[in-house]
Amino acid sequence: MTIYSLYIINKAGGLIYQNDVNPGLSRLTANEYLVLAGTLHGVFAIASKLTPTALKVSTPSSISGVHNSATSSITSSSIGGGTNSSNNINSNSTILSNYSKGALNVVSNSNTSGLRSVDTKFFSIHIFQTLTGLKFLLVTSPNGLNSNDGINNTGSNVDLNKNSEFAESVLRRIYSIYSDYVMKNPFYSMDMPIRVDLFDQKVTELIKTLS
Amino acid sequence: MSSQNIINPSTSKPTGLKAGYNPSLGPIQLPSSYQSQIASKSRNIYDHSVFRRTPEVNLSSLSFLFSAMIEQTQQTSKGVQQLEAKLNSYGYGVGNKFLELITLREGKSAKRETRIVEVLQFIHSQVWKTLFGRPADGLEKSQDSEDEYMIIDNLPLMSQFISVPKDFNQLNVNAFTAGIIEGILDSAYFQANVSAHTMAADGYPLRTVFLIKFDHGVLEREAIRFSR
Amino acid sequence: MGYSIGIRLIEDFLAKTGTGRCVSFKETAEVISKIGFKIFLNIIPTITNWTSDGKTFSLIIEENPLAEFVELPDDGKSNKELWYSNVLVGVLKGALEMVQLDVDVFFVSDVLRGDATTELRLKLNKILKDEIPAGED
Repeated sequence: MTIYSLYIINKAGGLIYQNDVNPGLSRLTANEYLVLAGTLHGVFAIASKLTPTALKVSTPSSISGVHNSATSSITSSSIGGGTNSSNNINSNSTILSNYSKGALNVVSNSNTSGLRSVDTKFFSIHIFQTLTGLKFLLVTSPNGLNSNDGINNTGSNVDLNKNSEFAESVLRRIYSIYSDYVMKNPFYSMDMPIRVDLFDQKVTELIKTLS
Repeated sequence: MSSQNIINPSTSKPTGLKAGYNPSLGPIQLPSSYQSQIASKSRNIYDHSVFRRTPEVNLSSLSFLFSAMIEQTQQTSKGVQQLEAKLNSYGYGVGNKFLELITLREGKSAKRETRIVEVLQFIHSQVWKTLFGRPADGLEKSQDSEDEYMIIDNLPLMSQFISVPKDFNQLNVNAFTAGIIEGILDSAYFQANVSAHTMAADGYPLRTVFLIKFDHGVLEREAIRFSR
Repeated sequence: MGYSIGIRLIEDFLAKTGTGRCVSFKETAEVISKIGFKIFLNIIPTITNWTSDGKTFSLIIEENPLAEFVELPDDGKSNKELWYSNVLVGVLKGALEMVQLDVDVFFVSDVLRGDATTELRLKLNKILKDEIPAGED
């Protein structure tokens, strides 16, 4: 799995950090990034409201069973295309909402009922939310999920599981870096865009050790 | 009738007795029955041993406190120079007192440094170890001028999480540590000006050089005393 | 000053400890004392004096690293007006607010003032439900 970029969204839905750590995605305009962040923030909130119905279906009890038993998917023809203007991927895009209440031993990721990942044929987005409402997003290479046979294919679900666990561990480490180099910096104002050299450096170092 | 009642004019309001030396009364011994509010405390600070090592406190706590201190200082400062000067003065107060404490803790092995190089080595090793847990990374003499020395720290403990924005021209928040050094040097009778400068090196973006510029008198004294 | 430390410090706390949301204010009290104070100040204050509604409790700080070797000036004022360690009040207030707990924090006694104990009181006003991030149950 290649990590393309990292986004941080504050609790109001504003994009405060965007860093393309590895080449591979086409650039958007600054405004488009802001819209993307705001949209994801909104979709995330709405997705979490879908939860109760999904929970009626089943309550997964083991980590390995999460994606198989409690994954509900929404196939969408517009969202994937809207995020990437240069590639025509309107068709075959899948959005996954993984409802995993009580299943994963979610520690600092408070995201239990919201959108956890967005998958398209060309990339995946993984979302990690803190108790304080910050969202850390990773855009990565696709989860290996071929949307034609989709989530019914057990093999790709194992990959998906592994990938999202990996993404979450990366995001958790980024959160830790954030707490050191952004929070302990007196020149950073809360909720504002992050322009902190050391944070950039440490994030880049981390991503390098992973690839 | 106690001595106090005799000396004080009748118009004066009775004040609480305080043990210690009163310029108009001389030493005051309180009756043993008297207990001041402070003395009634279960533990008195004088009962603490100064030799006891304080329990370690998380580096995060220190970093947050330092960060908040800089933030607050910055809000009340006009420009980088004033901010640095203020941080320096905070450190100066620490340094002044710190020399006393460290020499006291060293006990019998403590000695008063009389030569420039020796006092600098003392700061480079003992002081740095006590404050930051390890000796500084370098001690150099300036090649350009006689009165300048440099102590080098590759990754200053206090500021390791802090990146200074570019529009804060040349600010180095280790002005605080520079102030500590200056306070120590001054109370050791080596009057000097100390400033902190960022000089990044490969792999050490926060490498900081503490430039110590001694007063002319210090150099003269050294020359007279140790020339022969 | 404490407040601005608090709203930042909470991120460090969450990122490094991975603590999840507390289910009750009782649990919050435990976490503050046994994890929060322990990692940041290396002390574990005693939790006591709960009110019957379970919304107010006290932390008794036995050994205060902030106040070691400190003696307030005997000017008749500091003893009554200054809460020397008030920075802790702000830190707790700020940190708890960030995890959507509106809490009043105040000192009720301090050994520096000649009291027998140093007691910090926390009173839960309300849980800021509207501000709990979406996606949590």
